[in-house]
Amino acid sequence: MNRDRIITLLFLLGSLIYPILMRDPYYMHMAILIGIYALLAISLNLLLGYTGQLSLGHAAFFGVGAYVSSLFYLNLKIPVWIGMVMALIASGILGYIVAKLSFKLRGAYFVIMTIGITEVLKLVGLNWVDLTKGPMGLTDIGAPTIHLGGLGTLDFGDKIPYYYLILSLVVLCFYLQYRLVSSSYGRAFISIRENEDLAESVGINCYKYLVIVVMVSASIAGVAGSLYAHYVSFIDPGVFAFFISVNVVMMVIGGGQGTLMGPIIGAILFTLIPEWLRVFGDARMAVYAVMVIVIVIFMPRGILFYVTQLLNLRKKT
Amino acid sequence: MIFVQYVINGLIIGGAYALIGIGLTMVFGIMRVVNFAHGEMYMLGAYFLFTFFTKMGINFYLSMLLAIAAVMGIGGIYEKAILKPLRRRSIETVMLSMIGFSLFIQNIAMLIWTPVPESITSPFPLTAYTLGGLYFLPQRIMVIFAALFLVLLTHLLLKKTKIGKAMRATFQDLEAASLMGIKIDRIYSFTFVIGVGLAASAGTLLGPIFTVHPYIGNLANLKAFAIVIIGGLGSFTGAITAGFLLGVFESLGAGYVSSGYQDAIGFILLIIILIYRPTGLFGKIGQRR
Amino acid sequence: MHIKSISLILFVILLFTGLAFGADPVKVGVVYPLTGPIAAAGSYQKAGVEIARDRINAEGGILGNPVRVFIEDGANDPAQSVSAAEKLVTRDKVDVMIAAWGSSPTLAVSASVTKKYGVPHVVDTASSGKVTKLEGKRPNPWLFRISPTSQMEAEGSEKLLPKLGFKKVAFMLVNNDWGRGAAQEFGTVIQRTGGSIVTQEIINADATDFLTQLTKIKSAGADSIIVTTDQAQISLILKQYKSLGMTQKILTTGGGIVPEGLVALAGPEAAEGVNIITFFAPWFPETTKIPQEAKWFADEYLKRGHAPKGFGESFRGYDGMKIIKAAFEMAKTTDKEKVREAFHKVDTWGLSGHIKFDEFGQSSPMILIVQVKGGKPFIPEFMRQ
Repeated sequence: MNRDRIITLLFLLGSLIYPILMRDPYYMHMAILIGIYALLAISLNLLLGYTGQLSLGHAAFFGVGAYVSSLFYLNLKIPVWIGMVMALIASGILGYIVAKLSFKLRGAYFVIMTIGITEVLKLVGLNWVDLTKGPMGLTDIGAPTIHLGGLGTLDFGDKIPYYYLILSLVVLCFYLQYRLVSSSYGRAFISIRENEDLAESVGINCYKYLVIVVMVSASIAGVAGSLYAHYVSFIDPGVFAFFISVNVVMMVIGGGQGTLMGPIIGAILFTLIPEWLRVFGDARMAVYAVMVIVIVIFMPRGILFYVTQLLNLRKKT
Repeated sequence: MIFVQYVINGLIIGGAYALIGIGLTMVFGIMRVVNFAHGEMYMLGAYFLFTFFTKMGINFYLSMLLAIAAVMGIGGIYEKAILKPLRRRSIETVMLSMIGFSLFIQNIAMLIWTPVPESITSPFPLTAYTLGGLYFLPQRIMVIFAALFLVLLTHLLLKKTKIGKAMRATFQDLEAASLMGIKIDRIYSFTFVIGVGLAASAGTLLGPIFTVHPYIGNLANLKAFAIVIIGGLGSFTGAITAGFLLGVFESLGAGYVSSGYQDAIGFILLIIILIYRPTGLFGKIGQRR
Repeated sequence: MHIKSISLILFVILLFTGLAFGADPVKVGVVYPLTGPIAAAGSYQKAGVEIARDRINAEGGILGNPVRVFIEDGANDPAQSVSAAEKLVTRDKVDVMIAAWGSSPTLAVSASVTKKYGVPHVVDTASSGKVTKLEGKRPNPWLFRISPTSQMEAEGSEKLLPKLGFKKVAFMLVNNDWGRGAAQEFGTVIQRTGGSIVTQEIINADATDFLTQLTKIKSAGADSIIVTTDQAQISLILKQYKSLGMTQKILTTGGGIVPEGLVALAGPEAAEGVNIITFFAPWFPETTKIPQEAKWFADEYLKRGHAPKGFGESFRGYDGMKIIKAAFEMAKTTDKEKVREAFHKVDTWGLSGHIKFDEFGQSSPMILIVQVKGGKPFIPEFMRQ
């Protein structure tokens, strides 16, 4: 077993016993948010980390997932699980449309296109009052339950079961990410990131692979949105906020783009950082902004990379 | 008649949009940098005018010039300190540093001027002139003329001056330009400063019409992005056309459809145009990155 | 000067002896928007909370203990407000909450924090009916609201609207729960009083240009406009309305608008004649049952260097703190269940009128209409009766 595997397994073990160590509900709340953002970060990492396409509109998929799942639950009273699957499908379809629309272009065009689509969806959420209740938002979005036959019902409305639900999905997506990037698809993605023209010239259909990666990425983001909605039990068009998209990009870059563990480390850091910065009061967001600049300039390969480098240096001396 | 009034309202706002748009498109076209802080430069322009004119009582036109100069100074410092070292770095690094800068300026403005909205007293009369049943607002007439003047001035700068020619050469072919002995660093600094100066001047022009608070840059940013993409990234003519087009479409949309979707119109236009003409109205085919 | 400094020293000594005797402070957690587009309102309310805190502490605190206020930023966003409230309740262990400004974050905090942990929760701003009454039931027994719902506001002004001569009404409303709620409730009231709604214009929260909407209202033949949005947007609407030479009567709702704000932002010319619904009129302390305290508050607020534009929001924080003090003194303990019961028994007067909660935890503040006349606040004749 190599070192990376040991670290990953230790990490998993730590996450499994975390609720036993930390009884404090505030820490459980933060852990659940970290889990939701980890899913989002993994999904963006597939796109940004492995194919090199920057999306500043991941909130679009997140928000559509949140709305679709909540609306299915509230209007049709179907089990939450089916709503989550619907969220996955709907976000995937949106991903397909977005990819078809925007991958005629790359770079700045693509980035602004993703911002634009998110803005349009936000305005649809605000104005399609009959469906989305507009700015009033959707309330009383229930949590999922499992009937255990004679043993009663497992209610995910409590923090600890919900934590384990999210943890299992994070593990699943982490594994999915691992399998995907180590498959022939993954090699195609990376070749697109490194040099698209070269990839095209050796017969890789870049367009096709990009559409696939956006669809997978969007579906995972949709599930994250659905999990968010059923946890907070309230959503409004704020789920399409630009800040969510930016913070997720920061998670991927700050943690280490194109690495397996990077998005998870990033999700932990960038969920907690805005909370830690509360000590700065009104200057909170200004400090956050400085951190963003410092990290992208001085740590473009992610904190994980610099930490391991530091450890290796110490070993040598 | 009401249709004509809508179109006039739209054209006047469109002039300001065009002014915001050309600054952004210039910076992108020449430097390949999406200036996410463009709207914040607009906001700073308005705030500096507020400080110089309303608070300190300096002459209105002098205050405008001072405000624009101050913002150009800030832009220049940012370009030298952050953008220049990032020149060879990836697009997402530059974009995120710009986003960080925009968040920073927004929140610093909130700490300096507080989030309380302020108003810049306008030296122009409030009541509109009427002509054949149509209304023309004095301050806005000033805005449209000033905007057209600045657009023309920028155009002359690009076409007639030596540095303008060098800028165009850099825009067309960076390597050839640097081989010909054009100092790229200087061109970049100059472009960025002019770009933010145009945003700031839009801020000083619109500031007295609207109220000033730290978040007015958000909307300006979104509009500027839509305009620049619709017109074609880097296209001067495109930004001007798209600016006026957007103003008119928004006004008509708010008048005949629903004002709730007013801010979506830019992006809906953008999506439609990108389906049929991926590089925008005036973008060069093949120039897709 | 001497008296002032001596009283200050005495106050400090008092504070320290309080701490020296190990007095456990009563902790109030506050979630307001301190960053983001609504930050201005949050900062005014924060000022109100601080004035109340200092007054309460100078008068000996609550139950003999000093009051400590923990203010967190919720940015008027549901997720951020929930995180801030979670922190206040579980980390800082606050005894009571004031949260979270708009209806969306308030509903979120109510459902997933204060109800879950059983913490008394004072709402001082949100106007959505759903906060206190959801499908005929009270959603959160721990929540007490001192701000009126849009429905109460509309019904409270039902008698006044005919006196203002509102017949063919146009609405201009900001695209959020508050704006849409107000349009709905005021729409019902207008129709009940025999008026009609000519057009309804939705404006986005960050929009700045309203010429098109105003042109539309003008050509629709409205005789009056009800505007629901914040002070900055209203002043833009007023300026552009004046430019177009419009003469329709204007009424603003929501209680956050004050004549000083409109005069400062839109200029005296454009603000002239506007009717403003307010819940606290600092210029006319006689409209409250506690005129001395109202006058003292208005003076103190200005003395601390806060903008008069913020009068319309600042009183909310003050009243929130005031009602908290009343409830704790009645409960004679900080035990949360006892405090919750005490909230129901509280019967007092705040800056915004009578505070007494019904079975849904809703109080009914006063609803006043003031006008701008000669650039100054003015109470119309029909309000004086």
